[in-house]
Amino acid sequence: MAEATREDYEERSAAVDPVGGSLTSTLSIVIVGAGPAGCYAAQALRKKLPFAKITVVDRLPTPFGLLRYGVAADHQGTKAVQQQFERLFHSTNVAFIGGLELGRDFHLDQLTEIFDIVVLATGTPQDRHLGVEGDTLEGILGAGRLTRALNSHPEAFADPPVVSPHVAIVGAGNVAIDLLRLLSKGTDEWHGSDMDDAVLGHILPKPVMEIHLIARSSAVQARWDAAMLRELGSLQRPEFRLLTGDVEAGQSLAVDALRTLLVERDGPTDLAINLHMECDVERVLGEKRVEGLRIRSRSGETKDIAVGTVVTAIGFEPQPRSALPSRVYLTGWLKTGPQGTIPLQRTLAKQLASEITRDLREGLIASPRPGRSALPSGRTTDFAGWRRIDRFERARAAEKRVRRKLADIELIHTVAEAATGSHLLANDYLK
Amino acid sequence: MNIMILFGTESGNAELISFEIAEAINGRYTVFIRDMSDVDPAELSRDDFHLVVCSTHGEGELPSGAVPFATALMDAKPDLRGLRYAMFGLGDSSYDNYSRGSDVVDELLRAHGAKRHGPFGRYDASSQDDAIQLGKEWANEVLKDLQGVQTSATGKN
Ligand SMILES: Cc1cc2nc3c(=O)[nH]c(=O)nc-3n(C[C@H](O)[C@H](O)[C@H](O)COP(=O)(O)OP(=O)(O)OC[C@H]3O[C@@H](n4cnc5c(N)ncnc54)[C@H](O)[C@@H]3O)c2cc1C
Ligand SMILES: Cc1cc2nc3c(=O)[nH]c(=O)nc-3n(C[C@H](O)[C@H](O)[C@H](O)COP(=O)(O)O)c2cc1C
Repeated sequence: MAEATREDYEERSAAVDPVGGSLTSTLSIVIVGAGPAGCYAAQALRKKLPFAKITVVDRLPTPFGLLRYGVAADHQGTKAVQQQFERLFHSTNVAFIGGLELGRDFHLDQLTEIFDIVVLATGTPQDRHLGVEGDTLEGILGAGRLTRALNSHPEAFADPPVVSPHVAIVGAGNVAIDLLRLLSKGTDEWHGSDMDDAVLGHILPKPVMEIHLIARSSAVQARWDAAMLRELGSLQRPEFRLLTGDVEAGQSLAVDALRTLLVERDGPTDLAINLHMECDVERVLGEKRVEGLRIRSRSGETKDIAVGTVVTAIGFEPQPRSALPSRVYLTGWLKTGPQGTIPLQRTLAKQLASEITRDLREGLIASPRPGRSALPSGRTTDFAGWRRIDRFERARAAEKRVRRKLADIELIHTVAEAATGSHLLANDYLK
Repeated sequence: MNIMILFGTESGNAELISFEIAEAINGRYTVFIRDMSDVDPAELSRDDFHLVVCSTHGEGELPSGAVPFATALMDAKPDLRGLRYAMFGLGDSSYDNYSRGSDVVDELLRAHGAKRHGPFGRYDASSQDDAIQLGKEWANEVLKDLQGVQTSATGKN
């Protein structure tokens, strides 16, 4: 009944179904990738085409992409948009199917046969390489891989990386700052987060003692947000030092924040954060494992710094593009390349929904095709399964944490399938 | 009296809360919902009561969905005397300018003669509060106050 009333306001409040009910009531849409882009796309399409059957599939058994596996554990406020997507999957005509992978379980031409409209939103998970000598040594870690591990991504669970107490982070974007903050936090600075202490202990067997941040850009040009830098100011452990570059030239909120960080703090610190602005990485030093980094400043001086881990936060590889068959659309990072925030995905989704409605109106898309029921079967999860995972993860949260994620894919499926008697499971796995 | 819910959003949370409030009060009132980005403030009706739900983005700035509305207020300077509303702000107290976007809209509405009623509601995304729950409680309180005002007004006649 709630559904009917909801559609009432939508009808009263805005023009819906601009294409005409006869077509849209049989229309089937599949969205591949349940990250922010895929979920916002489903939301925008449902609003424009309330009667279409929308299916969102993901290769993982859990939805939400980088919202769950990229956004930092201590930024729960950012993750709050998840609630919108949960309402969405709860509504009629929208379904989630987890555990189906494009390229493994089905191919694009199969999807276009089964569905009237195909939206691809699979993102860009591949870390960009440094592209210098030594960049394949053991101890080089892509930011994507490290943030997935910190966020208990099932694929990082099998082989979690270890970060040395002396670490270099290359890059000056928000992801680099996320990592700087996450690696710097003391054990009592995680209140209200969903950080799993066991996972953190695995990645950081010893606390970090020294971080070098190496950035090609100057302090004013760097693509970090002032708010991200300000947040570093409330960390207990670190002392910040600027080794190259300057914070006097140029004016910006970020530079102001940086200046504040560089004010010497009283009292002892056990973590030095050294900022090397306007520096290039010339090569990674070491035989088999990373032993250091040679960096070169604008003036041409080179310097070797000793580190055991190099984290590269210099972006992700854009996906190669081929010509798209008709009725296939792109959105999210797959479309724009690996930059842009979560709110931007909502804007892209609205544009996508308008484009699809226009194509429908112009008669470019005919219906019906069989839709969801013709997808291959396998070990999949649905929204009810996700709800069980979600409840389970919240129930087993440690003290002062909001959730403790399941990272073992087998266990995720087991919990998702446990329609009844999940309390038994809870007893087995709560500890 | 009809209820007109206006939301100003960047990432959709204000919109979600608006729909949940609508569902909660539907039946008691006839409810309309509009995205502020599609609303000309000069066309708002004195007959409606407005529930304004607005977030904050950037460095304490308006969400992009509220920008055209605010710009129209500043440029066209419509006379909003007699217009009634209540305000609910979404923000995150880990940022410097907590919930400032809603304050800006509130100040603009009042500067043009509109009158705010009831409590100013707020949701902090970095708290563990339930945004929907808070939104509904706020709306109920606002509407309860409003009924009080209306009955006492009719009582005098
Ligand atoms: C570490 C990190 C932190 C970030 N923090 C923030 C932040 O705090 N605030 C903010 O606004 N933005 C942040 N961003 C940016 C934000 O995450 C992106 O804007 C957004 O996630 C892009 O959405 P997407 O859906 O295109 O990609 P993704 O989120 O990557 O989603 C892609 C989905 O597709 C699935 N998939 C991939 N391949 C297949 C396949 N073959 N078959 C089926 N499914 C598949 C994946 O499992 C995934 O669920 C961050 C990004 C990173 C990398
Ligand atoms: C980039 C960014 C900047 C933000 N800046 C602020 C801010 O300055 N003050 C604040 O109170 N909240 C801020 N927020 C928090 C949002 O207001 C909060 O997440 C809210 O729930 C978003 O609602 P919406 O989805 O309706 O836009 C910010 C959020 C983001 C993603």
